[in-house]
Formats: sequence, structure tokens, C-alpha cells
Amino acid sequence: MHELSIATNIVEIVEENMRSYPKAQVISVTVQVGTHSGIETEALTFCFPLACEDTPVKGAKLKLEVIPLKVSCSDCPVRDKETQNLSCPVCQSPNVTVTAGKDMIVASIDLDID
Amino acid sequence: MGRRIVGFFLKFAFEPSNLRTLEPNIHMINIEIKNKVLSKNDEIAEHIRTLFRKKGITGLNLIGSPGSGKTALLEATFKHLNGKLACAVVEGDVKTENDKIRIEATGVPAVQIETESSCHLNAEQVEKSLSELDLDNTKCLFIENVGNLICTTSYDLGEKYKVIVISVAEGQDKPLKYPSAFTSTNVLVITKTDLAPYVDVDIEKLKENALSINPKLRTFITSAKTGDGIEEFANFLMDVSQ
Ligand SMILES: Nc1nc2c(ncn2[C@@H]2O[C@H](COP(=O)(O)OP(=O)(O)O)[C@@H](O)[C@H]2O)c(=O)[nH]1
Ligand SMILES: [Mg+2]
Ligand SMILES: [Zn+2]
Repeated sequence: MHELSIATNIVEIVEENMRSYPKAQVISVTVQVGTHSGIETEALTFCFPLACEDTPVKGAKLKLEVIPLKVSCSDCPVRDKETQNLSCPVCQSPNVTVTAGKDMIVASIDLDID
Repeated sequence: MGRRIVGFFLKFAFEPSNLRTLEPNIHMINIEIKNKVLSKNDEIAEHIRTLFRKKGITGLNLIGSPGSGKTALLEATFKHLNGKLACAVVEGDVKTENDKIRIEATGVPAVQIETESSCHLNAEQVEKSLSELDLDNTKCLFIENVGNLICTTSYDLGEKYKVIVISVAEGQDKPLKYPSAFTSTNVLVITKTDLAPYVDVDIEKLKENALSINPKLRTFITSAKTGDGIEEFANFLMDVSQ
């Protein structure tokens, strides 16, 4: 369970990216979570408000987008296609590269700069 | 660092008094960030990877449940190698130096990281610990991660191979329950095969389940107790440490 440290990392990234708007209020933070990133979305949702305490991000809503595992295949034209395991969903080849689903990415934030 | 694109949203205030003028009230903005949450860890991991490459070191990150037999696998392997390969170990545990002491008893240098409360090693901890090892005289460096099959999969430690260690006692469906651990690894070591008759496990089925998630897994079937399969694992280490 390291979702609190992950949530803290997210808050730090948000703070770095809102430096030009010191008075802004963060309405929401959108985070993309790969299904194979090793992160539990429920635990992350639970920890996020704790990580926001005493920071300018306090009160922000965490929006999670779950990103499925996707691969590109070296043995057929399949590109960036959803799969359940590390093989091509069309030709079953094991020669695939993962294109999505293993990372956790802070995608964007909505600020109220009024 | 993520590229920033600032887009403006028009937000209309729909209070009755404003309805007639419909003046756009521009005060909501959306900032695109696209920054990996673990980018700082990944950066340090890349430093470690470069360092290993420069020094000709093969790095292996061992992950597995607590008690899956990671330390015992290393002990048996080092005994078998009998000094033929210059190894070193970074030990990660929540508490105690026990594993470091066990490794050093086999004649291999080790350094212990005590993570206190954390369920995984991160690249910063590993980078710091490396200064305590003689990297110029190391060919093969193991990082024994904290016992945990979920959290450890998120953190790159600069290794070349991620090795998942799973004992027969954990059951044959583990790969299906923890697929993210199996999609992050290149090597699978099944341990404690001497216990298979007592725990009703089908080792072939366990291997098959793992390969169904990741068909490219190099698989070793071992027992640290009887020494079965240790030679194959040791030979693999010799091959990848040239
Ligand atoms: N019977 C048997 N026991 C083992 C084997 N490998 C490890 N063990 C035992 O399993 C327990 C946990 O092993 P350890 O190496 O400390 O696991 P780690 O937490 O993954 O490092 C210890 O009591 C070991 O003696 C094996 O191959 N056969
Ligand atoms: Mg151990
Ligand atoms: Zn294909």
C-alpha cells in the first residue's frame, strides 16, 4: 500500500504546474491509471484528500481514467490495441511492445483563476 | 516535464440577472500536464541503468511475496557459483539486517536498506546504497525487493531483469490474480518444489498460467533445499553477465 506516497507525488506535480497561478483554486486533477500500473484506484481515491491537506490543491476532486493494457505487434499490423496479456490480440504473437496500461500519468488540471 | 497547453473554457453565469447580457465569464482554465507520476523515480532509475552499463554490471530486481524464498534462492545460487561470478546484493526489508547477514555468510557482499514503513524499494534508496558496494569488482548485482507482489511492480530500480520469485506453496493461480506483476517481469523463478507434494500444486499449471500472461518469461523451477534447478539459474546468470 503506497497510494499515499503516490497521491503525494501527484499533489507535488500539480503544485509545480500551477506556479503561474498562485491564487488559483484547483477544481479537479485528472490522472490516468494503467490497469497494470500496480495501483489500486480505490486506495488512491481514499488517500488523495489526505495528501492535499495543507497544500494549494486542497479541495480538488480527483478524476481517474482507467487505461487498459495496450500493445503493438511486431509480427502483424496491430498497433496500440487493447489486450489481456502480453501477446497480440489478433495473431497471438508474443513479440509485442506495451504502448499503454503500465503507467500512471497526471493528465491535466482544471483551475479556477477568478 | 509535461508540455503545457493552456486552454480556456468559457463559463457562463446563469443567474437570472445575468441571463440577458450572457456575458462570458472567463475564469476556468484547463492545464494539460502529461507528467508521469513516478517520473522522478524513473529518472534516478535511468541514472542507475547508465551506471550499470558503464561498469558492465547486470542488474536484477527480485520481487515476490514475503517468504517466497528470494534470500534462500540467492544463498543456494551463490553456494553453487562458489565465487565463479562476482555478485553483490542490495537487500530491502521493512526491518532488520537478517538477510544481509545471511547473504554475507555465503561470501557475497551485501548492503541492507530498511524501508521502515514502505512496501517497496525506490530508485533513490537503491542509488544511495550502491555507494557502499565495490561496483568496479561486481558483475552481477541483485536487488532483493521488499516482500510484496503489487507495489514493487510500479517502481523501476534501473535493473535489466525483473525476476519474479514465487513458491509452489502460493498456489497455481497467483499469476492470474496478480497479472501486473507478471507483465512487468522477464524472468520467473518457481521455488520450493520439494514442497509440491505437500501443498497440492500443479507446477506445470502454475508455469502455464504465468506464460499465458507473459509468454516471453524465462522460467526456472527450483528448490533451494534440494538444489534442484539451481544450476540452470546460475548458468543463466553467467550467460547474462558476460
Ligand atoms: N522446503 C523449502 N523451504 C524453503 C525453500 N526456500 C526457502 N525456504 C524457506 O522459506 C522461508 C522463507 O525463505 P526466505 O528465503 O527467507 O524468503 P524471502 O522472504 O522471499 O527472502 C524460510 O523459512 C526458508 O527456509 C525451499 O526451496 N524449500
Ligand atoms: Mg528475504
Ligand atoms: Zn500480431
